[in-house]
Amino acid sequence: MSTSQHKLLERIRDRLGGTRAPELPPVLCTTPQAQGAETFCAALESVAGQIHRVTSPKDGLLVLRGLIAERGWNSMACSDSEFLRGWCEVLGSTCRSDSADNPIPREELLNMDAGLCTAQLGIADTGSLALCSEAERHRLVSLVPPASVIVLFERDLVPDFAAALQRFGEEGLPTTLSFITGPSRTGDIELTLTVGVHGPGSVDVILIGEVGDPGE
Amino acid sequence: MKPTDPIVDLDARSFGQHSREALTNDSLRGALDLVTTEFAHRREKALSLAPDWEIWREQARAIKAHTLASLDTYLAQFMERAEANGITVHVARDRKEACALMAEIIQQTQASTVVKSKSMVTEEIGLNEHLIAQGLEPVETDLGEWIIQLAGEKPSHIIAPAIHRTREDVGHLFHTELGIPETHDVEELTAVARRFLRARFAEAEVGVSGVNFLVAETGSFLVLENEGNARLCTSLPKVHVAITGIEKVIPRLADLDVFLRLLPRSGTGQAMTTYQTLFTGPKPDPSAEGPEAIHLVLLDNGRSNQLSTPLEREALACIRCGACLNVCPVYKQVGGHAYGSVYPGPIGAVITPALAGQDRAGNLPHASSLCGACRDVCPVKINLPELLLDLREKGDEGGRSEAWGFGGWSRVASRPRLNSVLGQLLTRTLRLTQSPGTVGRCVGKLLSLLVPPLRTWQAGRVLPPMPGRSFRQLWRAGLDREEPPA
Repeated sequence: MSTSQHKLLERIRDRLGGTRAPELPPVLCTTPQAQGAETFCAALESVAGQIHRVTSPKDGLLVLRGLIAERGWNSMACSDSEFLRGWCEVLGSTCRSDSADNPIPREELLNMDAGLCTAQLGIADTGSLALCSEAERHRLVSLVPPASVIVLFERDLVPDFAAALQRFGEEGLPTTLSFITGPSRTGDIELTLTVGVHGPGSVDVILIGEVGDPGE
Repeated sequence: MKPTDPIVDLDARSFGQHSREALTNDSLRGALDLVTTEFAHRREKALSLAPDWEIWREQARAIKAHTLASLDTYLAQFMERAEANGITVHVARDRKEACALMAEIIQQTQASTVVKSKSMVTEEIGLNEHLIAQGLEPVETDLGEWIIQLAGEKPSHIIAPAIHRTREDVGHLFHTELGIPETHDVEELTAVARRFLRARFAEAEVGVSGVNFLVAETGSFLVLENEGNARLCTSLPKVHVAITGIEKVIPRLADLDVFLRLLPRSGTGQAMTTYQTLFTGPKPDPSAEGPEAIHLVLLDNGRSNQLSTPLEREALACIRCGACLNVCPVYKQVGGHAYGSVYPGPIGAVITPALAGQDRAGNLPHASSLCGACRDVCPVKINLPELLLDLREKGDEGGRSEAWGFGGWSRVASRPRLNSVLGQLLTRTLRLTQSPGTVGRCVGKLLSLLVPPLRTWQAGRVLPPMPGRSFRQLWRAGLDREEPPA
């Protein structure tokens, strides 16, 4: 511990004197009001996220191809997720994988139309997605392009934020844990809601259900 | 460049003068009315869907009360674990030390451009001015902060810094500062910000951010935002420098839950902000994404002085949601700049004297009607009116003259005969001031000379005509007849 750190703690002890701290209350146990895919979809839609429910990875890929055609995306950056490797191969030159060995140059990424990755956890209560930095390279892919497509498996849904924190508390935290709830937004001018100010202006979630899920 | 006077940019002692100016600014008052009303409305709507609100508030208050009374323990734990995670933890005693530290860290990276996400603490220490003086270029990237940086202003609201400006203002500002065609379309203006700031993100080597919560248990820190600029600032550059006050620590990872239920709902009425990023260290290996190094500066700047009494400690529980600003009858009329502090509103009136010194912000605690609306909306139940009263008592002239005034009033009011005689005298004198001609004017002048507060009061108001009969006379007559206006 450095001298300045020591001095700070000394100063605090001095000001607190012999103060006896009131008890730390136990962590609040909240009963999740509702959970599961229905809640997740409704919550995500309420913050202008778009949801696509499918029952197999094959159908998920179909949805993605539909989105690419419909939105006219010419270039898509893809994380190095094991699961998405197959999709990226099928999509051919439209899809460029970002890997540690062969990262997408920053200038190129800044000009791409969309980004594709998977989420490690979904939170039903708020429609949030959790991205763990150690799982795949999705930090920039999910952030820099103007459109974001995120794949989530229904089995990775937890009821609420408390449950997500509990899960990460048990499994250990990644160096960076990003929670994403819908598209980037601002209200800084007259509180007028505008999407896509810095992050993606659209977030499409492909939710792959249990039924017919052949696994990865 | 304006003189660097960090937390108190304007002279807080002239709140009266600034507020009188603000009251005559119709554009500002229109913007304020829109924003405070809308924010308060959104908050109420969010609360109507949160039946356990009071339970959450009480939990958050109790966690903060415990943590602040054992701040040394939790800060020691946080610093130890954060450093074990690879985060370099620095301590700054005051704003000067903090500015010097930040500049040194940035200069070590050889960078010249610094991208910044929103941080009230950097406003508090006047970081931008210091960096510019050191030859560095800080670029604010939060839309609101960017607007006020272009305008050379300070934030006027804790969570919506440019909210005193209308879309026409912003359109004109972008036109003159950026040389783009003038537009008043909010979507277009936002797109301009994206386009211009993308170029800065592409080249930036250092990113600066604030912090919402420090988690002692895991040595992590959390940043909340809606725009995505904080993620860009902390993902693209090689070095991430975060700065925050020492009071932001909470004990357990699980405690984040209750604070995240309270903060976005209180601030913007959202159930959850778009992004929450929890940082637990720099990238583990060189080929991974994210910054190579994370520096965290913990700022004291007068905070530790507030730890001595339980009441003062309460002010350190603030999570900077801005809800107290939106319901404050004073803030709603005059806006943030009148306070002369980067922290305006009820919470600003409480913490500015603590951070900047009571001699420099002595009269801010008087910028309140003590109506208690701030205490009612505070998500961590800070007793703001009590704190304001405490500060008034400690303050120099204000406390004494108030005590003197109310002491006199109570002596008169408890003696019915005296009260009646003085009341009649006052009524007659006031009637005289309203009589036409020189006599009225002279009596009015004399009265305002004898009673200085009356002069202040009269400056912006017109005394309504005195009725023909007093309340006492009406009461004796049985209050049954309509009194025609005089």
